[in-house]
Amino acid sequence: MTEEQKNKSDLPMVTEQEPSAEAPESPESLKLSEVPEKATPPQVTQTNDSETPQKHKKTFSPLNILDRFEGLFTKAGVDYPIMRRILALKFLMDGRKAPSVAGSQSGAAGKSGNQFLKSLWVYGLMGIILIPLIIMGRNFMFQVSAAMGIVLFMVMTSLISDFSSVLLDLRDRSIVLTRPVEGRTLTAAKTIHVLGYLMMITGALTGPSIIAGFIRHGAAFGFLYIWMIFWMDLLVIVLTAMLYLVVLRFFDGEKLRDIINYIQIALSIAMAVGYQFVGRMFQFVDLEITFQTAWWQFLLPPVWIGAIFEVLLNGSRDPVLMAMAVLAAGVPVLAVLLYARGMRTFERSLEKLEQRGSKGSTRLGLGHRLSGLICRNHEEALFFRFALNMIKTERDFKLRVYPSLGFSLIFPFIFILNSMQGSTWAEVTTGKSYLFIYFTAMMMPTILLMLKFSSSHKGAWIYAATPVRDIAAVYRGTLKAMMLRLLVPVFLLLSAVFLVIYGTRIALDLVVAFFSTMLFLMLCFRVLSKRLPFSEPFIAGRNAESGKMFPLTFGVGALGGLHYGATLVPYGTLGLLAVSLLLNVYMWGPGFSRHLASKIERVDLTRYLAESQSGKSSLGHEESKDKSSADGHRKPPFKLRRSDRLKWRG
Amino acid sequence: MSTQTTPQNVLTLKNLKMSFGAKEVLRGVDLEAGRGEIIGYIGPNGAGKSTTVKIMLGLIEGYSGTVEILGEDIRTAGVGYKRHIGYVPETADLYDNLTAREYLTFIGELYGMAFEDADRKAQALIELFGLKDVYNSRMTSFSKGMRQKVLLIASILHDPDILFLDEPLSGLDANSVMIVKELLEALSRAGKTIFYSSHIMDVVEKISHRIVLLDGGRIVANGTFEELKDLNHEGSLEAIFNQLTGFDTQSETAGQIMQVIQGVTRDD
Repeated sequence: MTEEQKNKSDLPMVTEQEPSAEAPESPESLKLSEVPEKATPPQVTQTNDSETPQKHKKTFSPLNILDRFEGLFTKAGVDYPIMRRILALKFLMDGRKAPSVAGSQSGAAGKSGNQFLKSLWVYGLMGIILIPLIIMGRNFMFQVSAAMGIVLFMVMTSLISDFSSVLLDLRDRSIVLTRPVEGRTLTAAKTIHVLGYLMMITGALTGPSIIAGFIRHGAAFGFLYIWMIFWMDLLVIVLTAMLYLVVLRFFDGEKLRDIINYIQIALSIAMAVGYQFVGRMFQFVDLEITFQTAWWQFLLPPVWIGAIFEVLLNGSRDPVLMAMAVLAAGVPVLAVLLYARGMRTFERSLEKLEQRGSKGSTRLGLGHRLSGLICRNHEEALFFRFALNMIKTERDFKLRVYPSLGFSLIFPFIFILNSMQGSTWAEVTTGKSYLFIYFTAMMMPTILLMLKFSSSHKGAWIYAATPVRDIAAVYRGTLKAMMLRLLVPVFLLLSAVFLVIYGTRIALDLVVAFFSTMLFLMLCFRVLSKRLPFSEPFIAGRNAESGKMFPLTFGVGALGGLHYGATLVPYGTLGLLAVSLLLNVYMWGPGFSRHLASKIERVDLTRYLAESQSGKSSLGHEESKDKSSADGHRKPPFKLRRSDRLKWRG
Repeated sequence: MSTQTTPQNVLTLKNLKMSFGAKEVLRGVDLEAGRGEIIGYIGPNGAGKSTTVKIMLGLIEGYSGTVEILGEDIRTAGVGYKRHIGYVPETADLYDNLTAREYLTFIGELYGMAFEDADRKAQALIELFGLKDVYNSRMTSFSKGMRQKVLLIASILHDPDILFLDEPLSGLDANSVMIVKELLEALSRAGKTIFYSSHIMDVVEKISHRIVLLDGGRIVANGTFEELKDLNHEGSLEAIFNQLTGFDTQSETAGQIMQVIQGVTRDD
């Protein structure tokens, strides 16, 4: 296939096991994208696009690594050249996903390019915590299990919330499957696509500890570590995809969509709980870490990996460990083989997600009735109801947000259980561990980040084309809807359970915690960028802004700490409530509008409107200013060309 | 082009049935289409038109009955038969953050064309459709008509034997519409079978050799326009459509709509 060769190099930056090296490169891409858009007439740069394949024929490419496994794919019934072509295209598109509508606010210049790559450094930073675990000794059973537990947890979280939408994507069906392409080829492409990202994430996450491992324990350790991480990534994807497959096969129509979301919640809860078990296996006696075997350890993949290290590197001949080592080596391979057989059915089953549901109920729902009560004016109530409906039905949004709902539900209990060790039930119920309810606030930043996205982002022209007078009403209404729909149910559920455990004495504390969470929401809102709700297309993986999430989580801790402090002072909680109420009134009221006024220029809306109108007459490619068209779609800046990216990659 | 012998019927549907859950979408559709035929495939919303097309494209499984395309049962044929099909979907799905060139060459390659061939043909076609200047521009900036042209090109790039066109004229300006109509005639003369699905009855009436009307998952009429006219004593396809689908309250409905519009005042 000669045309194959030509396109081999529209590679994105996926590398097999060296992704940590990618992270430092991303600042480069930032720089590139800052080239002012006006200076670049589309045509000139565009022509480069097509020449790139020829020019960079020999450039190193992650897809070239994939080429070595061509035989395996062929054996699995995958049309390899086609799969490769789809993959190259997917990565090319990922590098382009730029804000499309009303994204003309500050900082738009740094927005193109692969957002995902810019978020990798966060994982690299988190990866540093693995270093002490790896270098502390030669008790691999403990060290590796614990490290892999963390890695698996992070990777799985990322997969089910950030990449489920890639696996369950429907657009590919009508574009690719209507052409002579087997379902399994598309599924394989999707899987490899996700795998590429997961490997970058794990690469960034484990990079520091891999280096530490090489230095401390030698090459054998290092390579085994890399090898096992690779297979774990594969296992994670395959298991998740198979779980979806099972769900798709056994459920039908309308219910299916909800079930997928509940599965996500269940999966995140199961993961959080499972992770706890890894920690429980070891007992710290006299600074000596000992391992007690138990049957349930066979259910925890990180433990298998710990065992394989123990067996191969420490020469352990314990039959239990040997059995686990066999699992570590065998299960991922087996799972992949099984998946390869099931791939064909995966795409077919996705059809069910597309089916139109039944009529739906005619009731307007509780939210509708509440809107007048919760919102201060007609316009806000309008956007409140709008957001409520959008959140309720947006599948991609739910795919990304529901896992964090699961965590919010389970983490308070996990922490309570952890703090319980060594104390009696009575001590717990009279204690202050109910303050772990603050964990519900942890999901706020994630959800806030997601609110600007929508799979029907093109509908956002309504903001400009309809006589919206108060932009603050749009945001306030949306935020309130988000709270009512996502935070309130979780908070109520937890409160109910806590009231049973701790008794009514904590009622006031729960109220304070709720208002603090509302305050925290305002804090997050101020810190994060303000795009119009539901106005941008979803991007694969994390957003460049996830870097801001880290510091924000400390905000939750600070609020919880403050609350704890207040409980120690007489009438402290009441005082806190008063302060919190006042602050809330300000932050949601005058402070909100003032902040917005300073951050969002009114111009944006009108400019957007102007763009969508003028685009009608132009061909849409005129020049800098009017990069839009009749359907009100903003043209992403023509900045980061494939050729550009390849240049600095050498 | 195709190695197999040309069968009598390019396309045969036998007792095609499909249901989603309890909802029966197709209740036994029998249909044949020969070489060079332009079939106007019409019916009210929800009649099962797109389901039929999706089944023929292999997007939906779980149907009963048989679908034969170019003499092969698609259930057992593998995906190779799709090489002979061109498709313009009703929902203008395309990867719009690609340039027209990237998208079209990709589609061409999916059909098994070499990159250079696809590129050359796509460029020539884009020029002929008057989009020369934007061949290398991202399609996010394209108007509806421009996208539609790209979709049309994507459907004919590989010189298919069968075309499924779902509202192919949507968004096109009057001149482009003329080009496409002429093109359909030419394709038909070249022996291509065209499945033309649309709600614009005037066009269907003019270009179709045969009209198939689907209602409630069944074919309620199948014949040339003249035959339908004789059978139903109506002058236009629109009127025939109304009659066969049992709809005759348009003026009443319009009147009611006016009442509703003028009867409700805005509350601010």
